[in-house]
Parts: sequence; C-alpha cells; structure tokens
Amino acid sequence: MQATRLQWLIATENRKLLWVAILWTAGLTSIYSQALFTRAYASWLEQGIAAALCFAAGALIGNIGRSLVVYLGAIVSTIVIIIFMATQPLSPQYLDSAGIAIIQRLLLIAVFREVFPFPLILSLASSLIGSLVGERYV
Amino acid sequence: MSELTEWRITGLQALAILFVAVIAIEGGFAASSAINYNQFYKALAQMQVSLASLQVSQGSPGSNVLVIFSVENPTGYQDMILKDLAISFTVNNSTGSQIQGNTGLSALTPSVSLDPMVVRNVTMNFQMQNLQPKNYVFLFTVVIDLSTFLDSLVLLQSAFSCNTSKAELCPIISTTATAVGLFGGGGGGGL
Repeated sequence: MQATRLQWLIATENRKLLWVAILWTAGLTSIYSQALFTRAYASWLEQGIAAALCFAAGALIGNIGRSLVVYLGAIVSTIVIIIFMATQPLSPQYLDSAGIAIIQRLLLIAVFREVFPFPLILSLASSLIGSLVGERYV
Repeated sequence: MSELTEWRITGLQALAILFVAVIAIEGGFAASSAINYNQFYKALAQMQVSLASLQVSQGSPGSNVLVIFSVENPTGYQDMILKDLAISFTVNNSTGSQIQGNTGLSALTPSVSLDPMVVRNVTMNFQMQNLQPKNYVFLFTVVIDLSTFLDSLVLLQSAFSCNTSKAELCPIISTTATAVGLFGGGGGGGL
C-alpha cells in the first residue's frame, strides 16, 4: 500500500522533477542556513556537501537542460528563504530602527558572500556534471 | 524465495535514498541552528550585568578597589562569548569632589562563554589616589565585547550603567555594532 503511494508520488517525470526541486531547495537551505547561523559563512566542508547534493540532484534528474532550470529555481528559492529566516527574528522589541537596518544590511551581505561567486559556480558545475552522469549511466 | 530477497534497488534509487537521508540530517542541524538564532537578538537586548561586590581598602599610597561584576545571559541562546570587559567610573564623594578614570578594555583569558542562565563573575582590581574610605558613590559604565557568529562581519559591544547607590542590576545603555572586513572596515552604529 505504502509502496503504491510512493510510486504514485513519483509516477510521472513532472512529479519526480517537483520532488527533486523541493528536496534540492530544502537541502541547500539547510546547509547554507546552518552555516549562516553558526559562523556567517560556509566552510569548505559545507560547500562540499552542497556540491555533492547538487551532483546527486543532477544525476536524479538526468537531463542537463532540466537540471539547469531546476538548479536556478532551487538556488533562488534558497536565497529568498535564507534571507527571510535571517531577518525574521529582527524586532523593534529588541533593537531600534537604526540597529535593525545595520543588521539587515550585514545579513544580506553574509547571505550573498556565502553563495557568491565560488559556491554558486561549484554547485552549478556539480549539478551539470551530475546530470551528464545521470544521462549516461543511471 | 521471499519477496524481500527478490527486491532489488537500482543505482538511481540508492542515490535517491542517500539524497533524502543527507537532506534529513542537514535539516535537523539547520532547524537546531535556526531555533538558537531566533533568540540571538533577545539575548543581545536582555543581557544582564550586575554589581556583585565592591570593596575599597586602604592601601599605600592610594586605595585598592576590588569590584566584581556578574554577567548573565537570561535567554536560551547559546554560542555567545564574553571577550573583554572594561569599566570607566566616576566617584562622587560626600564632599562633592569627583574622581574619574577607566581601566580600559582588558582581555579575559580565556574568553568566557555566556551559556544560558549561567552567571559569570568578572573581577576588576585597580588603585585610586585621593579616595576617602567612606561616603562615596561609584558610577560605573561597564563595556563588554561580545564574540558571536557574526564576528567575521561585525563586532558587538554592549554598555551598562551601574550606580552603587541604586539597585544591583545595571541597566543596558546601548549596544554598538562596528562593521569589520567589509569595504575596508570601519563604520558602526548604535543598535
């Protein structure tokens, strides 16, 4: 019964693509948000895990064009979600408006510094290589 | 042969399982970090400094002042470190004269972790000339340097005001953020 449900969830290419996109976004968001909230930048290990995740996602999609589109969607969604998560606890209850403005600016810098340019290039390359591997071997 | 032994997973399925497993583990770590981060600004705003003890003893040539401040993080936020503590002070004598001074920022070795609900005592010792042993009121301004996850971007400093004639708890005056390592460094502002 459960196997049937699972098969229904991934029965079509579009459904599979949707699940990979959701999980890919969740994975990148987890890695980058954890890095942001512990030291404000991603370590080599975290960048490596993100690249491995992108490789796996690319291989699961198995199509270079689709991988590229889904990757762009996932990375944009990740950045939006992380910015929301980072700025949401800022409250006038704890900081004045000038303080909130400073911290918001710093958090935006931290998020972009975490993703651009090297991690973005690395994860893009990983997802494209993964999709090539997926097309050929899986 | 049973169904279980006949069941085989393909390379793609194994990759999918690994993919989901890594995301689930990372998601757990990220959730824990995000919950902790949600209390960061509350911890900054509600940091408590209090005057635990003040002793003035007659020495030679001046008076020895031994003051103990207690620093506490009353929130559940973890990963905040007290790097330095400095005091500046004004002493009002009953005669109306004033003495001013400061100890400068002194590095605490090692730095003290401000764990939730744990009171950390910091002892400062200095000498003063012309201080009468009685009838004085110290007005301390305590400045603490905090080490946080934002250290690579900003240095956070909180200031508290302590008056020995009033309550032990020192109200927070300001929290200052100074940007570091961005566009050549510098800059800053009150929070």
